[in-house]
Amino acid sequence: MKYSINERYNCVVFEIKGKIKGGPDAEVFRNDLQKLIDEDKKNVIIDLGKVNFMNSSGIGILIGGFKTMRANGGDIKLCNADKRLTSLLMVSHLNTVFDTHDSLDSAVKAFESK
Amino acid sequence: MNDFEQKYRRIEAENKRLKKAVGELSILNDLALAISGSLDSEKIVRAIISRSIRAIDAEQGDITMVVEDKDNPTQTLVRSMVSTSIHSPLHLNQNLLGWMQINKKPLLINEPGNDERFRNVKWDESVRSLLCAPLMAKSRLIGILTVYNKKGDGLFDESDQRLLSIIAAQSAQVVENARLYQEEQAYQETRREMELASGIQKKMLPSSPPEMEGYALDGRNLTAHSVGGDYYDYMPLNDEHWMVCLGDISGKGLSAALLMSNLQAILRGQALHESSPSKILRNANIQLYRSTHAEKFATLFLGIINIRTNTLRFSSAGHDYPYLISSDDSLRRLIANGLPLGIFEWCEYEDDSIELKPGDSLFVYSDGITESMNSAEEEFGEENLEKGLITAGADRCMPEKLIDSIFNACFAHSGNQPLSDDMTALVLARNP
Repeated sequence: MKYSINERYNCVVFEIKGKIKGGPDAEVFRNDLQKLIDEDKKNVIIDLGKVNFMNSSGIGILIGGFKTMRANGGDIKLCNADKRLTSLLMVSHLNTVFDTHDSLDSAVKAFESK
Repeated sequence: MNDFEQKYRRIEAENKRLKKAVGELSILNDLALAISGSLDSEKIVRAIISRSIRAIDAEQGDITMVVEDKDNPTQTLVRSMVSTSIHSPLHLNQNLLGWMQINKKPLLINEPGNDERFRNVKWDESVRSLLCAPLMAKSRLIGILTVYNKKGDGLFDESDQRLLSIIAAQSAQVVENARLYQEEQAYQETRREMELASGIQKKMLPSSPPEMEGYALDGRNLTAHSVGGDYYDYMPLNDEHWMVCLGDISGKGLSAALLMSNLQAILRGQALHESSPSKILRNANIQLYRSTHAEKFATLFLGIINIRTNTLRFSSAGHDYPYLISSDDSLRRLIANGLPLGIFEWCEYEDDSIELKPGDSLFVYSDGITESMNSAEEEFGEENLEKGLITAGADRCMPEKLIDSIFNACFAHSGNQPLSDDMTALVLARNP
């Protein structure tokens, strides 16, 4: 799970590339989120546009991150999920948990209007 | 001194040198015999120390084994130390260890208090002299052989240093081999434990198809690792009702397997108390939530079939929607919405129900089937699965045959790629 972190308006965007599938990456991701919480940056967007694979451990990472942010007064929104990821989120009913958007702009706007 | 006397002295000196050389060779030979036949590190190390003390005429000795810190390759850790005396205050201090790690060559100290190299070291009073030699295996320092205090208040000399170095050089590979052998033994032990765990887990899954009036039921689970996170189960609840379920625990290996056995126990307990699938899932979710970390969860399909009325009530916790194959080979999916188990403490689940007609077959599966990949990283996918289900024909009502054909289609797709995830399927078919 490789990602770059950028800031956009009042949001922090994680652009993930390749596979989301647990392992040691999960720890790195958790630590990065914790750093953001410490810096009081709590609007997080995960851009899934360049993700080509996600398994159950990967979903676990997103859920763990989501729960951490929510517990600290923040939120994680998802954007750019392809057809496969969208159906994965739908089948697991997690589309009711995550606020998902078709584009990064739309996710950023959703935070603005908060 | 006349010629004769000079010759005599020379021969005497030569004899002395030869005797010493023979003595050293016999020490080394004796050591080689003592350590070469053993694979027991402790025994080998003790043999080296005791023979070193005798050969060098020292009072005590020890070997400090060092190992690279895996998390930090530049760091080494003292792994163990074997000494001639349990109560010995003499052992290699950190400064000496550091010096040996940097220099990797013998070290001779006859007046510890006055040694310029170790000015800040607080020496134990009982150390009068010491001699260290590195144990090197493949240019790596694996340990340090040290002897302390030459007997009779003497000093260690260069010939002592030379002999101890030879002993160390001759022993190092044997010590390393014994360590590798023990590591291998420990690994084999872990593997046996895993096999045992795998055996226990397999016994937890149903072992053979049940006798079920008017129905055929069977399941299969192939694990990608020796223990897996997929799970299926069925059990009679009373004369009319059977529970069937299939789940996938997030993650892999032992942690997923432990969670699986926990989930099985919860579901078997709940199914005997609750009559509706959604309530069983609601209760199982609470229990699983309270016993797991937020990132661990399970997706699960659970159905209860009434074999008299042929009604299947079902509920799902975020699991792939199962297929119903009808006698006309048409497919429909059983959709019930609900979050995976173990994510949030309070979740409600939906119940739905269908009637199973003669010749209808229910196919429940885990994503290890649809996600099995070939070398080009293309998944088997739902399309291929659906094709396999539609073309099964009469085999759809013979669970073992249907599972065979789907699994074989998966293997044909993935070629010789190793399984990346568990593959599990369960078929419940009403006799035609």
